[in-house]
Amino acid sequence: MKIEVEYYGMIAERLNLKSESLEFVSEENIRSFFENKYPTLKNLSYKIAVNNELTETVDTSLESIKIALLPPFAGG
Amino acid sequence: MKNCFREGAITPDFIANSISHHQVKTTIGAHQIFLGQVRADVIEDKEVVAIDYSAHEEMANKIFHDIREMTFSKFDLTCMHIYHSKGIVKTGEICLFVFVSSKHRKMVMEAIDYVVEEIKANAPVFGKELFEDDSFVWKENK
Repeated sequence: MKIEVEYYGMIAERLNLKSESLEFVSEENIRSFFENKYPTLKNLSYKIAVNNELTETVDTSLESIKIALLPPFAGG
Repeated sequence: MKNCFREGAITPDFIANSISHHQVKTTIGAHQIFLGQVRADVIEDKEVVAIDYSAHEEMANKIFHDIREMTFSKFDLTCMHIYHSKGIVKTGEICLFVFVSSKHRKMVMEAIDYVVEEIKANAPVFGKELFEDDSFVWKENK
């Protein structure tokens, strides 16, 4: 299935990439999926959001899936 | 969903206007305001001159909305506002403005602390601390 991915902050800077579309196989663990694709992520701290909710479970029955990789928060 | 982000620093004028807009709400007896200001931290002998804020805006606005709902359910407030900067905010300028109002002072004092802590912990906002020589480090809330 197709997933729309957005990278933020330090992650976007390290990968030199803000967004992309990827093919995701539903059996995969979402974190390992990204860390296999981009090994540098293994050394970084980040949270994963699926359709704007923090979770590492991808509900493959959803019609559209937007994933965000979020480095440590620094608001305020 | 309300957009809580403002481009650049939140100005003292904006804050003053916001206060004056509440003067018609005469059931209010107490306001509490939190202002986050960009600090000139010294990191490895270099001084921070600005923070460049970015955010997952859609998600952050949803989180701000959820914080708002939670705050209203926990505290007896009349109104509440959150504004956060995006883009460049220089040291000494304001990057976060939280404004809560209620009938009495106790409520607003407890509520402001709750709101600020929730924002710091849960809003997907990212900050690049910029130095004068164009180098930077990524800020992380403790």
